[in-house]
Amino acid sequence: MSEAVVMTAAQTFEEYVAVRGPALWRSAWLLTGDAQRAEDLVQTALVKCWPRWDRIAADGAVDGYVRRALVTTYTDWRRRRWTGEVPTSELPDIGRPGEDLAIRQDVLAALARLPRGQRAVVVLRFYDDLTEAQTAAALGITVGTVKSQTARALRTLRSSSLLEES
Amino acid sequence: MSEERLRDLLRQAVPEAPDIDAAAVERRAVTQRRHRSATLSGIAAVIVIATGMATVSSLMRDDERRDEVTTPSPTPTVDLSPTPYDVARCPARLPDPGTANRVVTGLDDVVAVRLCPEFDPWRGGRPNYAWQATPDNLAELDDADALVHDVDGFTAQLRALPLGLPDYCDGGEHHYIRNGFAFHRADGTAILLSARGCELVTIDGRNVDGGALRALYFEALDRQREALDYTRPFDDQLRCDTAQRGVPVRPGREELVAAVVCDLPPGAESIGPGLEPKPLNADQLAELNRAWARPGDPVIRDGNEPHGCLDLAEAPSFILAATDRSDVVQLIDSPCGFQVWHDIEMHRSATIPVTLRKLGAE
Repeated sequence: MSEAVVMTAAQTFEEYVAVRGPALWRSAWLLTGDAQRAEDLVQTALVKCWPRWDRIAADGAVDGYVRRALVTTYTDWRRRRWTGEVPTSELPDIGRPGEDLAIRQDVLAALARLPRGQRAVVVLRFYDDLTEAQTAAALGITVGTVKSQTARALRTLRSSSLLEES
Repeated sequence: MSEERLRDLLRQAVPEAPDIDAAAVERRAVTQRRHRSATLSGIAAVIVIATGMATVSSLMRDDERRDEVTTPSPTPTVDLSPTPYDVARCPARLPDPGTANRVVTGLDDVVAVRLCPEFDPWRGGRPNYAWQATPDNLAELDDADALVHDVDGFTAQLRALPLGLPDYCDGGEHHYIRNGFAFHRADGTAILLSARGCELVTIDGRNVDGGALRALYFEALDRQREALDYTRPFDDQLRCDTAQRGVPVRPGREELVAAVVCDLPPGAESIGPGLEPKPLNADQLAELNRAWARPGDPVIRDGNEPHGCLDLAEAPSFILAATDRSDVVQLIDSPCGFQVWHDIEMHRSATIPVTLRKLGAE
């Protein structure tokens, strides 16, 4: 779940990354399903924002910019960037005590059935707890598209093994 | 499954996050920036640029501030020739059309001019106070080249523009494209002028058409691109809905550094964000560049008759290509054995002698 974020216009890049980096990584992990890809995605989004940081910070909406950079980078990421990687049905994470790896694996498997746009909508709406309007702004699509993408995604998720209707 | 259940599952699934190393991100950003070469030769005049140049953008960023506000000239401490990328970038948000400045009082000490595009907030005259620039918008502003070459020649042309509006404006012609023009002066101050075709702006005491200013600017920038050797290769992601940008481009003069192929599904009426781009590989890009450097004559329509090479029953596949000056151009795949390129702003077009099939990119 994303934290409540209070940003100040004067926040430096380093401060922002220190505070928000882990939350961005968690969203990125849900988008990519892989720890290293998540870190790469977060870094790529931040690198895009870095040259314009003064301006972004001055506009007072840092989180919106960065989140938008994150999800658009994800939805636009060229497929060839990940070619050559071997998909695996086993998660590489060892996990920590108390973590339910079965849930993790099932959630990722369910998310993997979604097209990128729908997956991004699900993560923004149900993990980052953005409103439909905020989700639309982050993805550069209309609220109507968010609604339709959400409905399609939920339909797909409901048919998956873990998430099927009980 | 309830939405609450989904939220709960997502929370349970997410592993502990690592710390993100801000320093590593900055190193990566700096490295990328270094790779963006900006070489320049041939600027004849050495112009004194005040250290206040960087503050100009923040002045221009303030929408509430009147654009004619200028700052006192600080003591000039740095002598350098501005390159097209040295000049402070444009504001992402142009001022309210109702209060925007339409006057430039003098041109003698202008050392650089930028065209500032209007993105969304005032388009169509409807203010959108919640609008924010996208990363694409900011990248476009960052990577645009300013006019720094033969600025005196450009300002002389401005002074020679005919007074008043052209005849075609009498018929109620209205141009919806609005631009800002940032005139940067040697003392480090700048003026942002709002201009639109068929609307008067006052330049050096003369009322002239805003559209004529725009046309002159593109011609001057075209001459600069011929005269100077500078590059800033496009380094963002190309999507199928990436907006074309960059004027003026000439096939072969600007080199293509990345390209994607986009296939619209049958019946599609628009290019949605979900349309998956297919990147050209290095060999395909080299082949495309060879063709790009050998443009052929444009296709000429015969009156209003449909043209077999241009007017197709289904939306054609197209290539979006980015240049070493960060332009983005579109090439339409024609069934007549070539790609069609248009530069609407400069009223140029050409055939590019290659097809998707020849590129192996169908």
